[in-house]
Amino acid sequence: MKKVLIAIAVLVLSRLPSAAWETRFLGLYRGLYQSFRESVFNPQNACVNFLGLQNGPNYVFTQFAGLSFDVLGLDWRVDLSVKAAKSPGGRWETDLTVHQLYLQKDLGGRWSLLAGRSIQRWGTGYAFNPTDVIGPAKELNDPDNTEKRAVGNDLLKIEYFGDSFSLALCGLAPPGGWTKPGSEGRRLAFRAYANIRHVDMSWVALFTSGKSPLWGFNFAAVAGDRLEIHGEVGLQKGSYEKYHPASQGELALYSADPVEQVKKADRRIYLQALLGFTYTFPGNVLWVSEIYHRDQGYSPEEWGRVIEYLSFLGNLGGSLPEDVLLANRCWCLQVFSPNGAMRDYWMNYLQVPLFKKGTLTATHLWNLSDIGFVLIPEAAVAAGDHFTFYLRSYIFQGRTTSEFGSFYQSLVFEAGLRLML
Amino acid sequence: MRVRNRTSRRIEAAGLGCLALALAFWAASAAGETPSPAGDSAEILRKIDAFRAPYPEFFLRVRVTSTENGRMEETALFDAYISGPEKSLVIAREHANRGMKLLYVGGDMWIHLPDTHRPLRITPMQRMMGEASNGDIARLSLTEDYAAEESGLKEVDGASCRRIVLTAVRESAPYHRVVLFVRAENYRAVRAEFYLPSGKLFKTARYEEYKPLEGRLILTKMTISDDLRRGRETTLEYLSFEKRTIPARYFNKNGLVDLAINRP
Repeated sequence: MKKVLIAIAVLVLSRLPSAAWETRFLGLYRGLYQSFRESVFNPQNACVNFLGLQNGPNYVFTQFAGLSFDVLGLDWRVDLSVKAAKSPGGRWETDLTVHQLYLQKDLGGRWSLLAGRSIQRWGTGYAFNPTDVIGPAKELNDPDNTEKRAVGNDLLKIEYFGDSFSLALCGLAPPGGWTKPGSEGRRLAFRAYANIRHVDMSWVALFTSGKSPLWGFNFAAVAGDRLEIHGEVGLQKGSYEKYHPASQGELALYSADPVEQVKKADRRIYLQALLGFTYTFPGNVLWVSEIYHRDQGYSPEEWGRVIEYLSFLGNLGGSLPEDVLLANRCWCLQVFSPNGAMRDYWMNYLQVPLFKKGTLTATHLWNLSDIGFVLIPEAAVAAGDHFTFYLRSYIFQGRTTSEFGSFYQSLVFEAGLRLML
Repeated sequence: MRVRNRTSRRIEAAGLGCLALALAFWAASAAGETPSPAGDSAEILRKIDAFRAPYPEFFLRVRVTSTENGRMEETALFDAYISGPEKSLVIAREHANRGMKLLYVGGDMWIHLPDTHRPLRITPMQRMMGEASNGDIARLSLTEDYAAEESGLKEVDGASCRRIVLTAVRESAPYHRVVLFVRAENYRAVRAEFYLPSGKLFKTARYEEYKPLEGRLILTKMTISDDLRRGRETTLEYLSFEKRTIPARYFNKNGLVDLAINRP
């Protein structure tokens, strides 16, 4: 209801006298076929069945609308989407999402103020961003959110623009909202950007209540005619992620509740780092390659302990109630993360234009610890200015104990139509 | 990665290269603040540029039309913000490219696509994309990248013209050589020829229409033809000029993302 009221308020405001306004519509109509498989995380498809997932077609219709307008000397921006989705055996479900809703004001030519929900990207990497401290999580198949699934953070940002530098200070609402007293997770982020000798450099800091500060640096530069290079580094004392207790050497089995995830107690410096490049071949063929490391991920040893734990659960068959075993097994799925569960990855992206209207792309993410991978090939054909038809697949491969080889999906096939107005 | 995907495709589709080429001429000449090569070269460039930039900082609206063998292929409208010789921001106003921003500052270039939330650095080769592109388009700042030298007279389009050879003085200059033909009496450009480092003629620009603005003539229409693919032409019509004080964030890559495109 709150979202609906916000949407109405925006529409009313848009009726006020304004200097100018712009709209943008994106329709995304797609069908997916998901193929689940048995794995160490999903024996006999038990977890998939427990979660209510089924092989078969899914349908997702998304209508996105973006509106920017100028009222009372303020620049407003609102991005909304309405989604209707149906999974196999399920019913149609709808959802209204406010992706962005903010106002902005230029102050005195060099200052800018932004307040509201906004998607901000501070990193220079394509697939991963150790210094993207205020942006929503990325999706590997759409890191730049062209399909409008990301939802911004509620924030207040003030930024000063110099001739070749800028300084930004950003306060972010905690998960419970600004007004919730004593809520943890208040964040204050700072970025100093400068272009020095044709290199973009940013120094980033994130201060979060209850956590140690995160310090980061990123850069992007062009070398020669065809090569762009970028990199990011993030450092933080201690890890604030949660881990499966088995990975930390704890043998935990709960009969009433699923296994609680645990934090690491050590206070060493945790490093996230990314180094990558974009290379342009003749014919406008692009290759993006990135190496990414994060200390926060599971080490091969820790991952091995989770696999051992899953085997242990399998050996308990008959000695514990089946539903307890299943709950504990499904809880292990939490080790999977959009950022990758483990520590070292190599991402490659290739884009090949075909004639005037077509494009072939492939994204390949390699887990360097266990040599499993996910491959996302896509073919897209544009029809006129407004329609693009695409076919995409997600292929997960690796040893049965590897991250991608043990993922409960083996193949996703997706066909979609984008309508942009 | 649709960003790069669209980056290349959209630059190609929009003919932004062509526009940026033209804007580079504007930027190069933004009045009075142009640091120029010393001596005659600087004086020549100053005279040539006098027909292109009405103000040190201004807003410009441009219609770009691409044709092939005389048949219109595409047309698009762009807004441009120019500040001095080294800064320009181009925003696409129409069609699927609407909201796309191309920023050039001091030899560096970024693109921001409306579907995304971060600007991307563009390599010189990516800047080459587009049928109407002309090498490292937005770096074609004459005063920064080239030295000028007169090399005789020639009749061009019925007018007696001085032949001005622009030679790259920066390694990063997109063209080894540009040959300009300007009217003998006042240095008003009539034609330009752009050459690749190999010496091959790449593009030819015709400066077709000048109109008075605040007491002096300003270029309002030019056509660029592709000498490698005969029959392909792009026409740029400069629809309006407005003297502006432009906020600093328009020329900072971090200011692009939240920049409203609805404000002309």
